[in-house]
Amino acid sequence: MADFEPRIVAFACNWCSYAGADLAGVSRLQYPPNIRTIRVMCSGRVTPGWILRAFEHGADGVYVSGCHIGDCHYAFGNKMAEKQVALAKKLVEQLGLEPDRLHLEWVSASEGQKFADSVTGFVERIKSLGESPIRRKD
Amino acid sequence: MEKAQSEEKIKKLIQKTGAYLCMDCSKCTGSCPIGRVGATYSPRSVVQHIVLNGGGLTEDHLWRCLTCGLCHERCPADVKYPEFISSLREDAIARGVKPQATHQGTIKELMRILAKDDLKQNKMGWLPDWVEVIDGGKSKESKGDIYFVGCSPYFDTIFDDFKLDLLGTHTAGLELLKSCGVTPAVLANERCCGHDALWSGDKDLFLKLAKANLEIFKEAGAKRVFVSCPEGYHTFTTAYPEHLGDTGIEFINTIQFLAGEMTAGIQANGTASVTYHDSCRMGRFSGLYDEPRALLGLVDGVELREMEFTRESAPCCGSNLWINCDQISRKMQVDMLNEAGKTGAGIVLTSCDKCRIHLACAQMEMGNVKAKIEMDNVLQFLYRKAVRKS
Repeated sequence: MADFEPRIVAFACNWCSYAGADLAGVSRLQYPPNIRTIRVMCSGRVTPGWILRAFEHGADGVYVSGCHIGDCHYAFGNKMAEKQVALAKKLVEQLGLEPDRLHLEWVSASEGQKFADSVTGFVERIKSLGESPIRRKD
Repeated sequence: MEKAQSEEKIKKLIQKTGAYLCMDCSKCTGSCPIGRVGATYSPRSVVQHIVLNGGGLTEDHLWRCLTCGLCHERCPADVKYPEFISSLREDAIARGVKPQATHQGTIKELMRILAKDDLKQNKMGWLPDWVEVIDGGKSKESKGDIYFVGCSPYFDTIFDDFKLDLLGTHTAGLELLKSCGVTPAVLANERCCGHDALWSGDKDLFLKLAKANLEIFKEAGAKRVFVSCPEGYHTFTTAYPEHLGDTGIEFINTIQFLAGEMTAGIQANGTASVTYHDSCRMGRFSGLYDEPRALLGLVDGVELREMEFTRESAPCCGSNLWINCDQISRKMQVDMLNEAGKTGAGIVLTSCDKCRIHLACAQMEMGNVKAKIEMDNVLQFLYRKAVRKS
């Protein structure tokens, strides 16, 4: 599957990761165009339901990013994100998908390079895993 | 055009569920568990509104009903209100109206993924060693006996905090069946039974799940399918034949089967006083009131203390279909637990693990349940306290 281009949904928190992604953009850092970024107010708002919904709609991978632990704009939102993503990972595994298709990364507003690098790494990983088995055929 | 179609559909459902026979006696409203805890919900006025206007229900009225079936039980004109409201939901979903899913839609999304074609689930790691897991192809040793696990592995992950051991119900079910000489196999890729999709009006999803399940059952050469979950049992025995014709498979409720097979005088390790909660799908919908009680009666040293409202009048656990859980659900759950506490029993038993999840949630979050009462599934209780010598 040489021409496989993964479709990845990326949730980025408003205060750190979205700004980090923005910094990657204005610094003209290169990263693969496979992610569809969704800005959320806090990574803690990303629920297992949303993650499963992304997979159900044909995402090959889901990338969740928020502020570093201790830096959350809402004090403990990223702690919640950690818990929610861990739960979603278990469910994804039970559903027969590789748990590696779901990734949580802490990216601060100043870490444009880290965002670009981690997205590049994630896209590579999904490329090696191949198409999601439940990806829509249309 | 669309409106005319919808009106035609509603006319049909009024006839099918006998809603035109409603004589405004309001027994349904008086017995509705939602009305009892203070919300203004009246099945009578919903029926009247639809019969007179042919539609135009508010969303609250549409989704509030728990389909517990107490109104139908009491209705002198036999209006099938649970079917009535779920058909209205079907019509609403066709128009793009959606219910508020609980647990941030996690469980709804799970059901949708479970309806996908190319699924290779990985949820059977906990099974006892002797159970054969069939992943494609026919069963080798089980002679057409299959055990349906259902959603429990997923719920066990989601509700891990509650420490309910939801998988223990199935371990117990399988071990108890084995003690009666039945050694069913388990299907690795069985789907959700579709109960929640059907009753919340998502018929397309239900049909997808049902067809996938039947295909998997037939591929494995299933003749008898044992089901421990009351919702699954009711769906397989009534909704599958209704929507997909004769399935050619005998669906058996594990508790009912065990009640017929097991013999008296099971030695218990220790004594216990218990009370039993009739869940809606087990009791009012499937008529299995005596079987779980008979099973408990077999165990020496177990005393069954009945609650004030049991059997046909059993209260609802407060939440259903993973939609609309709020303060009203909570109030119902707390009331139910307090009722169970009044019996003086140490353990409240039920046959439905969803009841157990909802009640445990109330116990955990509110902390205002007067009686700290333990909860267990009938099968698990029987296996742990009586059969297994530990």
